[in-house]
Amino acid sequence: MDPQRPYPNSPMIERILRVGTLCALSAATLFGAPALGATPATLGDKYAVKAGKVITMTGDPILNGVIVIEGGRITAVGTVDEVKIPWDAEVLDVPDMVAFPGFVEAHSSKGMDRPNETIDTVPFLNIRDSIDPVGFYFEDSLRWGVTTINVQQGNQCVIGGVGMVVKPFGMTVEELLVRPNSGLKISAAPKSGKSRATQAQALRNAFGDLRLHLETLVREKRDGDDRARREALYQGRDLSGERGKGRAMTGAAWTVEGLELVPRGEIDEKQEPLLDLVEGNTSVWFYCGAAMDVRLALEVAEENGFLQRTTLVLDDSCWKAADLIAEAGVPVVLDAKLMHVERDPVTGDEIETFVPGVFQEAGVTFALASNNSTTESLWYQAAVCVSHGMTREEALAATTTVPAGMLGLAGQVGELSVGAHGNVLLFSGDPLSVTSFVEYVVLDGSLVYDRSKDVRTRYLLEGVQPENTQVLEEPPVDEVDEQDEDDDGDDDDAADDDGEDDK
Amino acid sequence: MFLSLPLAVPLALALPAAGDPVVAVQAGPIHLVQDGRVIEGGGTLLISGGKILAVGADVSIPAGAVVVDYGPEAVIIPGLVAADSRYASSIAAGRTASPSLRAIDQFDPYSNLYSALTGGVTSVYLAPARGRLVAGQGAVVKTGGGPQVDRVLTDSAAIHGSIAAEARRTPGYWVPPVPATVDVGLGVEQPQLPRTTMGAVVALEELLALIAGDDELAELYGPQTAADLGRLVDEGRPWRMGAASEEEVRALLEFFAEAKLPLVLDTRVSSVELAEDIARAGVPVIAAPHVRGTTDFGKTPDSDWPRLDGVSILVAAGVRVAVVPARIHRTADLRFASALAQRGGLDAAQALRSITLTPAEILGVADRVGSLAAGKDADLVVLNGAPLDMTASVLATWVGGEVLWKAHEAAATVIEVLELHLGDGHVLRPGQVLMEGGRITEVGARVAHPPGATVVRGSAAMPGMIDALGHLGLEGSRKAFSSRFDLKRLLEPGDYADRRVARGGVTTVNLGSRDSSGNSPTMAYKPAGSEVERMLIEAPAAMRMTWTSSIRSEAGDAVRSTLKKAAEYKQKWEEYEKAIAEWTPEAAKEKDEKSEEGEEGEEGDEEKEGKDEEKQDNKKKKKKKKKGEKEPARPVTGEWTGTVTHDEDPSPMRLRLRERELTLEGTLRVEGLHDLVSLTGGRDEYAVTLSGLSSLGWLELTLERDDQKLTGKGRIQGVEGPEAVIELTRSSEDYPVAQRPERRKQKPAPKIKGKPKPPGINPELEPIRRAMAGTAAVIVSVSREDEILECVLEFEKYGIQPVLFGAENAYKVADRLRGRVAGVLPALQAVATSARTGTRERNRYAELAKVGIPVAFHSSAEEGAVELATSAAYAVSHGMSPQGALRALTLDAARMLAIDDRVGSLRAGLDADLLLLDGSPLQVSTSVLRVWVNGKEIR
Repeated sequence: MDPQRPYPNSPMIERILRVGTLCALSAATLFGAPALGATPATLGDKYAVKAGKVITMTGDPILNGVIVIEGGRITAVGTVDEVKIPWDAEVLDVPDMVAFPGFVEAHSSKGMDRPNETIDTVPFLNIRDSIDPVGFYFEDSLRWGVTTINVQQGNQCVIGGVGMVVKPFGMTVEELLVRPNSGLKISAAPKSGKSRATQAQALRNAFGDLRLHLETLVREKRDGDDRARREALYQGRDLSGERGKGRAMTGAAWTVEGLELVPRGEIDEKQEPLLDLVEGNTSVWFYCGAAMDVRLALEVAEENGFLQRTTLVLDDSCWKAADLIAEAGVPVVLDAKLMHVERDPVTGDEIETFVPGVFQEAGVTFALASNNSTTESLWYQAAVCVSHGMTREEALAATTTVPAGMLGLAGQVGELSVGAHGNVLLFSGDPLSVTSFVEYVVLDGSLVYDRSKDVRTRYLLEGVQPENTQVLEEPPVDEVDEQDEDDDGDDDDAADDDGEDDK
Repeated sequence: MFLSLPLAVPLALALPAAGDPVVAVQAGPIHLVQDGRVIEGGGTLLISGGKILAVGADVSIPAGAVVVDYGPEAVIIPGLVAADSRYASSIAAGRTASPSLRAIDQFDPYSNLYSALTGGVTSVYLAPARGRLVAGQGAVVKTGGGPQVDRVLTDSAAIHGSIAAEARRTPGYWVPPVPATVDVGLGVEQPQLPRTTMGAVVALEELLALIAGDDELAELYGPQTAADLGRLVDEGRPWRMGAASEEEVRALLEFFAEAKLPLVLDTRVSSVELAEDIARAGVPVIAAPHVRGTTDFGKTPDSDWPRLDGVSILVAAGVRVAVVPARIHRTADLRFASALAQRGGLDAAQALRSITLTPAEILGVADRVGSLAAGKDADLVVLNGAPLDMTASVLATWVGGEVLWKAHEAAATVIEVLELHLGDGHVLRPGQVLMEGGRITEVGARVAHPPGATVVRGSAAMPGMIDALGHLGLEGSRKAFSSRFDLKRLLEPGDYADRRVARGGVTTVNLGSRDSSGNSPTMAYKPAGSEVERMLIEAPAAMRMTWTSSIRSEAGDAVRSTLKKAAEYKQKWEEYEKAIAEWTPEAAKEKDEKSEEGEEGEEGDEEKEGKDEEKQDNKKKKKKKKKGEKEPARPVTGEWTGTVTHDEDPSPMRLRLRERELTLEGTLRVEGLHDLVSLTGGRDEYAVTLSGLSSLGWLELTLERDDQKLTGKGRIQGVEGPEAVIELTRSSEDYPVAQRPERRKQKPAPKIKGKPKPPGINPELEPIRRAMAGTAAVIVSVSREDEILECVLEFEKYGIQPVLFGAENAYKVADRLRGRVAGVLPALQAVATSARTGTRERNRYAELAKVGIPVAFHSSAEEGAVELATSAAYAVSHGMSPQGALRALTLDAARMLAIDDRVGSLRAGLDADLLLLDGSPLQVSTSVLRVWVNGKEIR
């Protein structure tokens, strides 16, 4: 399914083109790719990392370990003695650094030009059309060691679009892509302009409408009416092969009798993703803005048979519903705010609750999420959890293997094991220490970040003016309201000047 | 145990589940509402597992039950049921008929609606939305409850809608086509009914047709509406329809009668004209008292003027009415709404029912809430007064057998009595006193009742009694008080005897020593007080003196000389006060400038002043330093800064020291030494030795103190070479690390030249000086009539009205004493008999009180003070006026001692010392039931 793009000529696309041109003009380091240490990997490239300590997340840390990556995948992990580095591999030998698999962001709405669609129910939209590969967010994610990100529509929706899993490096969406369909976004919390009741109504009605639509199609088919077929042909839909055949509905919670009579291509494009959901083929990221939303989310998921494929995305106040969540057995992505603060309505006293602790006690599988790419990035979240008494293993797992499992990428990302993506972070010290920096990032077997060449960091920490740039008296106000536009403003202009010189 | 089983019949009906604890709630009247029953005179509710097990006047409480007793003044009513609330959202769905919008989806089971619980509202109706023909399904929920409470009473109470003006502005409905392409277009907005009342009726008819299967209308009203609404109609859900005008009500009645569908009218009381019709149709009504707030609504007779009789007219016609708060009030004001309906003519029982059982019935939740009966939910409200008495407020709200809200531990207490004796001779019938924060804040026939106030009702109340001269608190001591003795040191919070005396009614005692020879001060205090600060009324309150002498010619000499001294003392103070009033620093400056010209003169002045000072305080002079003499060795606590010179190279140094009993501790910082060295040491007169471990080695300092300087030598063990020379000056007298207060002489305030000096307080004469100003009393023992007159005359010279103590023969000269004495404390025995008078008895108190000389009772005993009331009753039984005796026990005694600004009467601003009596005071049959001292009850 390839729905029409809502913004076929969006400024985003233009920007990609413009950036592409500028890259050729030797200003590449200033855009999206903070420190290009190497050209992007091609299949068959070999890369090896020798580190003082390797935290694999699957077993005990390996001292003096070696990670061999071939064709973007890890082929060997072990001690220097155990693993033979291929003779033709490029070797990153950092004996005083710690290798780590890279953090996994289970759910984020950053990295898009706009996180929300106005219309309530839009399951036919795809995040890929909205992703901004050169967004500052991705550059910063790399800097803080987040190597896998599930980008989902924002929380202001009823049924949002389909999200995707990306890595934070690349010039095009295709380069970023890790997994094209990471599931639908649904929200139980009222979007702006809705009350909780109207939100719940819209949510239930979406499935009611699907059911009515399918029943109508079946009835029409039985009556010998081919309105749907004519409409499909008129709209130029594919009715060949599988699309031309009917298939019985396999919903776990409810089914429509006789759907096998209706060729799948004749089902309304806008309804089809929901049918997929009810048939149990799609994962769901269900947002709850308050504890009271959890009941609705679980109820809707149960009623429509996708509870098993649901992950709840929670606001910090949702800890009150931890028992309910534990009973339903669904995993959750926690809010970046780990400490929930409220006032006692009678006494007015402040009450603080450490949210991950509540879920840990209730036995709920949880992943941590970052608020933004810098100040509350995943390492920080994990470190805060450790400071509140969680074990290192649990805290680190909540930022690596647990979210990887939620994304259906267990064994692929979030760990250093044979067969996994060749994503390796090299920390100057312990990953949870404030004094440690991400020194290198290897993504799919190629070095994509080197802190010593990170011009932004160097400018910030050492005051080193990036090459080919000049300080402007007044930063120009950029034309669009896109969040990261301003950050790039200075460099943009500087690069433009260069380009003119070259001409 | 087995034998008692058959007796516990009500228990057997609803036995608690095993393991659930049983709670017994006790109070005064319990309004069950069920069948209009009220358990007057106290009853008990048994609660277990969130349900009521039994309720009744004599329910046997099972062993192990937790008993919560709110006392006989508290009233229990069922948790209030609000048939409408503000807790619903105002955001409606886009469709004019949106039956799938469920109010229950807005309900947050994780938070309690405290704004409702504070008013005793335990169940509320949630509207799905407002302003639609069919807005959705309403729900009924509990306003609070722990996780074990099932807070949802019904998730679908009614089909909620309206045909009033609010529902006639339905915007057009538009389905956004996604994606909008050239083929599809953006579509157009579909107009929706209703715009008028007739439009509303047509729309209702269309909806019924839609349910019946008219598919043509599905597009108009939405594809799922038929199924959703049809299901609700099949389930028999009532239609709760809003109507604002008579026409709308009539339209609804007609439509629903024809459609044979259950209707609940949600209306203002403009439907009173249709009361008969509504009653005939059997339609219940949800109504708010028709008040408008202070808004303008039109001046003509046709305008919608406020009226309160609507509910009572409907009820009188036989309509079931649930009262809800007016729009201008909050949900918690349900009781107020019902009180307004009562003002409109509804009887009290109906008014209470209209906010409890009736709404529960209309909402279909009467099986769980609305009344107090075995098997129902334990939702109850504890009030401190009658349910619809608006001075009563909620003390506690229980939901599901748990206290979810209770009034803050208010210091406020309201006493309501039939007969309130203020102490000054006035009686309020009835009377109320409000006590807050230990003081009386209001007295009147009806006073404010702060929310959550403890209300106590009784037959009579009066101020706490005063023992005009007693010994309670002396603990048997017979010694006279020195006039320098700080009487406050006798204060300690009341012990058993103190409380026992207070419970007998005596709350204030003027404490004097047993030994009354010579002058001795007294202290007025409250023996039973619980806080030392508030126990004291005045110390010294009075000075006791003795006029009578065994050598008759010397009678009064001691008093005369004291008074003379006191007059001189007073004179000094007056002069000082006058001088200080005239003196300004500028004036002093000018004087300085002038005197600079004549240096000698000034010196002379100083000397003179010095002499004056000497007179005042000899000790000071002795301490004065003579020139050349070394300052006495003083503690070295403080900060010393200076230099340490080693190899002719001075470097800065700071020493911080604290001295305690000649041992020293402190810290040292020196440039070049990178650590803070902890030092310990000692001081011997002027020699100070210190040592401590530094990073370079053991460090020793030997210093000599000279006034504000410390000089000496220091060396580090193991370092060769000459010793370092240390010179330090004191930069502060504080040891900055130790925040503990040091006992140190206060630095004298800098002397300002020319400023008048206060003459100093003489504790022996000060009370008399105050008595001259009328703020203290003098109690003088005197007996014979000639001496009495002489004494009074002498005191008159100094402007003092004395209190005569004893004054056995005062009655003989009573006429000449009136207005010249503050009062008389006659002998304890009220009745005097003598052979000379035969059977004619004298009443010592009555004979003086009769002619207008204030008298007061005194015990001259410790715990014997408890009999003061009996003594007064005895005096009354022998002819004293009861009113006069009451005054003698309260205000007259307080006035004599000049403490009537704190105690003695019931007046706003005075201390809350109050006695609750079971009858009129000063009847022998009357006893003191309860006592408050400083607003706190003495138990």
